[in-house]
Amino acid sequence: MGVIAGFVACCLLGRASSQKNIYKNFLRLHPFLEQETSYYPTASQLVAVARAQCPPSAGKTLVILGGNSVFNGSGQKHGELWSRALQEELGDGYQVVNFSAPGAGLVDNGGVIFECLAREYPQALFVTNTEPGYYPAGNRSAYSYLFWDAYYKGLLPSDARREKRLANEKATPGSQELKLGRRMNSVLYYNDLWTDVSYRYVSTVWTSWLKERSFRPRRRLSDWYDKRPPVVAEESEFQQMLPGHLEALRHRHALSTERYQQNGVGAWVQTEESLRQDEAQIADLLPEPLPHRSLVVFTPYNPWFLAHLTDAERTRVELGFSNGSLLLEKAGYHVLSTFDRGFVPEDFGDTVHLSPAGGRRLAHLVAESIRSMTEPNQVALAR
Amino acid sequence: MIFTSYWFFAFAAILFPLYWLLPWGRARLGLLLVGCAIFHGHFAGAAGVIPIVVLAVATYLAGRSGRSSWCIATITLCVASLGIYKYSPFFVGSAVGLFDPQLAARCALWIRQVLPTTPPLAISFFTFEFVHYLYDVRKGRMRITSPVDFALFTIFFPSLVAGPIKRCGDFLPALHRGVAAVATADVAIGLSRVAIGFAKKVLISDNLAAVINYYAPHFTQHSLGTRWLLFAAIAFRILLDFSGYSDIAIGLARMFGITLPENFRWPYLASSLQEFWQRWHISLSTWIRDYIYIPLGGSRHGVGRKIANGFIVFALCGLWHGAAWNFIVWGVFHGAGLAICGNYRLLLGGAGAQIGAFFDRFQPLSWALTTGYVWLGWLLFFYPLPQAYKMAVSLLSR
Repeated sequence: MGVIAGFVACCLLGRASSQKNIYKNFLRLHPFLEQETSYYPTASQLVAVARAQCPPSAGKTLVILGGNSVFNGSGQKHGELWSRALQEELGDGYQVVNFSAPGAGLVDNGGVIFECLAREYPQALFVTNTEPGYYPAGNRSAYSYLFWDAYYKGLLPSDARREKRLANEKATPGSQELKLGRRMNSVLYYNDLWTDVSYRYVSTVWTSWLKERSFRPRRRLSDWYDKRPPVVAEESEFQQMLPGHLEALRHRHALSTERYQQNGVGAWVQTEESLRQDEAQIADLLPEPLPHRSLVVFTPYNPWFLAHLTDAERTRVELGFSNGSLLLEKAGYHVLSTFDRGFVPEDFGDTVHLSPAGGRRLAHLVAESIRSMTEPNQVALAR
Repeated sequence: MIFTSYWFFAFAAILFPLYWLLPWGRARLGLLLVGCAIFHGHFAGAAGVIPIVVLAVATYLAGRSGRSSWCIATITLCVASLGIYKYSPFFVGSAVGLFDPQLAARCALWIRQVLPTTPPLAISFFTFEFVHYLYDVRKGRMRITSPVDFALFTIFFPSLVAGPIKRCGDFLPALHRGVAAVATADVAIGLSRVAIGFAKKVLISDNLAAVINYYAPHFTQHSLGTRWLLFAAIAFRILLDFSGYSDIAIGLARMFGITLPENFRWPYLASSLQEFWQRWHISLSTWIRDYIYIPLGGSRHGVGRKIANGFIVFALCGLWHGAAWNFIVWGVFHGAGLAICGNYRLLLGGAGAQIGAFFDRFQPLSWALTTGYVWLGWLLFFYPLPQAYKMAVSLLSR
């Protein structure tokens, strides 16, 4: 009886943990608060963060950020974080909550939380970033655990198209195990309890990021980037990075030769096949009508590295940005393409990640786009 | 790890309450068999189940017949299956590769095309249990007539993944006592044991594994203190991983009311290698003693034969852990240790007796030597020989 009572008590504690905001002063999912260090905040816990930072009664427009390490502000310290600059640009009428994470796809984390809150916050906006050609659905990416967590807890709005797609998707043993775990968590709330205990009292997993600090409560660990050397946006640094980063850049979707071909007059065009694939993937991102409340930002590449590409490669990058914008706009998304929007090498820490100055430039551009979504007439007048 | 998968939690959450709530012993027996079959089918898949079913049917029929020649033929079949599934790529690479690497590569490719990518789940455990049964049938010690009993002896899921290796003479009476009535005390004891096993495995061993994986590649570059800490971490990682698994298995069986034999008894407290093997993976060491060492002649034919048998047995013990040279070297290392430890008093005459008396008097020294030897063995177990040697030497140099 004692075992059963203890088990039920743990489930109830987990459920309670899922409904309150345990992350005081939350600014972003820095490495100690996400899966890179074996820490998996649940969908309900992130929903609670958004609710706490922007109570429905406050009358503010909730702006949920998703996207990858560029939006996560990789390399930027707390005070330099681009999303803080965005909050300042937007002012008190908006509340920015940054759920982007390294390696995340377009609708991971932030996109899931946006879906969860879309009905409760009818004015909420979703702002995310990606690069051309990379549009994985929430259940197909590195952070799919969060999608399934929200899905099985019944936090996502019902969508017949998505249900049909999920039913038809071939399950791997790994995905079955992940889904089963999240389905069980939606009843027993053990993940919610574990993340709460790890955050407040003691963590149970050793990770190479934290080493001897691995077992400390995560709340006691300051943002990883705060203790890192500042981002140095200098040509000498870029020169050192050049071989490895240029190679990595060439492997990005935007440049991939598999996605492009030369037409009869020798001009580069995107293949019909890859256009169809992109279109199909984009259709799976968010259910209607949420694309109309979403802004996708194609974040820039460092022009210093772009200058080291061949003309053909640069043409493919440009084509990727323009085709991606067209496809997303066709699907109802607002799009901000930052290609040729004045970013200079000093705005970057490497090929794609932004320095504090680049973050401020990005925040300004994104704020303009957000205002144009919420106050289209005023923006037009101001122009 | 099978026992830490969500599937297993869901499976156990359904199976155990059903088992406890069923009022009839025969129904519990049937449910247990169905549960074990589902477990084996899920984790082994068709490619893993079919060979085991074939071997089990052959073993059951040979056992029922009671005929010595059938038992020997089936033992050969079981051992050959283990050899083919688990060891053929290794033997081809090692034997053929010595003379003709290209031919070895072609053979390895052919083996990969013919055999499944991984051997059938727990084929080593199945083989050892079948061999034990057939050997004992042949000696007239037992014979299982009930196919249900035999099937449960074969695929009893708690011990299927990592032992303990069962003996049917102990297991079947325990099984029938368990299914007849499950005491609340058994469930409580089993649950506590499972909890201890999970704590050992998940909280300690898995974290130690992460630490070792991170630091060990640069073992010799760390400070002397860190090297020794890592050395201890390697030793405790394998102990806690393995004994944690055994605790979970013993605890799960106990929750069915079935008592399985102990597999680990504080092995790092042993003050001699013989004692270590009486405390470490007991079901394996006693199996090897009863079914390889004694049939080979054991210690009955003089010191030379005893030492040779020890080497053979421990080389096979190493090979049982995995199809690679480092496991064989680890086994031979223990064979050598036991040859010295078990015979020096006899071989060195008066001096040997004096050394023995000295170690008997200074037990902490015997313990330190034994522990050091066993822990050095783990370097051979986990790493290629040159790397293990470098690591061992670096423990004694600044």
